[in-house]
Amino acid sequence: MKDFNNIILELTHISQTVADIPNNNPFVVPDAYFSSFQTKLLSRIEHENTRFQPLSPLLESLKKENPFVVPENYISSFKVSIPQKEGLLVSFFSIKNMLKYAAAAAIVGIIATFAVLSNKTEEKTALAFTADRSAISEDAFALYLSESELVENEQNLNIEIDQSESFLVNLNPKLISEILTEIPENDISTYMSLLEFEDLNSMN
Amino acid sequence: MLEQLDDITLVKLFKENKQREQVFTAIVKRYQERMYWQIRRLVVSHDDADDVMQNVFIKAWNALENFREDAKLFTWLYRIATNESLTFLDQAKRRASVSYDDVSDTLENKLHSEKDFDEKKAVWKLQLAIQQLPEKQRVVFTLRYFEEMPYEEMSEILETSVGALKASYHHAVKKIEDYILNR
Repeated sequence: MKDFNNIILELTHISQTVADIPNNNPFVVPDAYFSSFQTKLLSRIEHENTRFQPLSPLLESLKKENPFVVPENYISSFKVSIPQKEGLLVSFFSIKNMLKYAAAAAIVGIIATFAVLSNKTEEKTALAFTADRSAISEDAFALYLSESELVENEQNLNIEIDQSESFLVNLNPKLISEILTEIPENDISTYMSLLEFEDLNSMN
Repeated sequence: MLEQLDDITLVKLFKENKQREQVFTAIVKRYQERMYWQIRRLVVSHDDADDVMQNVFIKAWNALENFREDAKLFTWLYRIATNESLTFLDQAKRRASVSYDDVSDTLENKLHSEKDFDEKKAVWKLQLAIQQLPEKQRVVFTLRYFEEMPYEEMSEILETSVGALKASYHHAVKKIEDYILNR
């Protein structure tokens, strides 16, 4: 390890070219600059001090003491108490909700049952028709078709099947009255009162 | 008599408000030349160096009362001088609204206008090369090369690690060598 504390050695190690340059000071200082500098400096300090003299010597003479008193240990025991905001608790199982959901479930259940039963009846009819047709000869069947209005009925059946896809939308009033006859009077009146209650709420 | 006292005693007397001006004059006399040359090598012209010198000692006058003896007075003054010089150069750069390279050109021009300037002479060529260095490297090089300051002391003044200072000095010397050989 080389001794880099020696500045010349260190410089020679880094660059011989720079080390060969004489370490002379080429700058010139005006005569008596250093001997007169302190006097110049002190006069400037005096000037600065007078420049920044206080606007009011009276205020400056007053001690910057705080006249206010703070209760003992106030600062050390200071705490900020942030009140915790309480959340609103809403019960899911309220009587009103239970009635509402029960009525809705009953209506959906009735409609679904009717739709399933209707589909089964249509399937049975189609199967019976196919089975009968296989047992009869082609000619007899053609004759039968021409004489009967079965083709028309089949078309009607197809239309009904198509309509059954949109059954949930297009309920005919007669069917609804039939469904409603199966529901007890009490249930309907409870449901209607709930609907009225909701309407009133929405108006508010 | 005051000139015989060490730095600690002088600072103590200043703080005790005893013969303040005389005490401060003693401090100025002790360090003014070393401060001046450090500042002059950075700002180049005498007039600029004189302005910075006065600012340095005015700051020292105002802050000496709060000076803590955990640092040497000499180190503390050098730190003020270096900071003031760099602030001066920064303000000059802002005034001119030019890049640092342009300030280097300005410093080079100032060198050209120095008395006895001769570009062919190695000492002046060295000065021209120093002005091409980045600020930090320039400060490190001048403190090490001209002031022959130990890295440990430099570390206190510039608040930089010894390793970083050695690296800065190495880069500075290489750049100066390159400038001297290729210009």
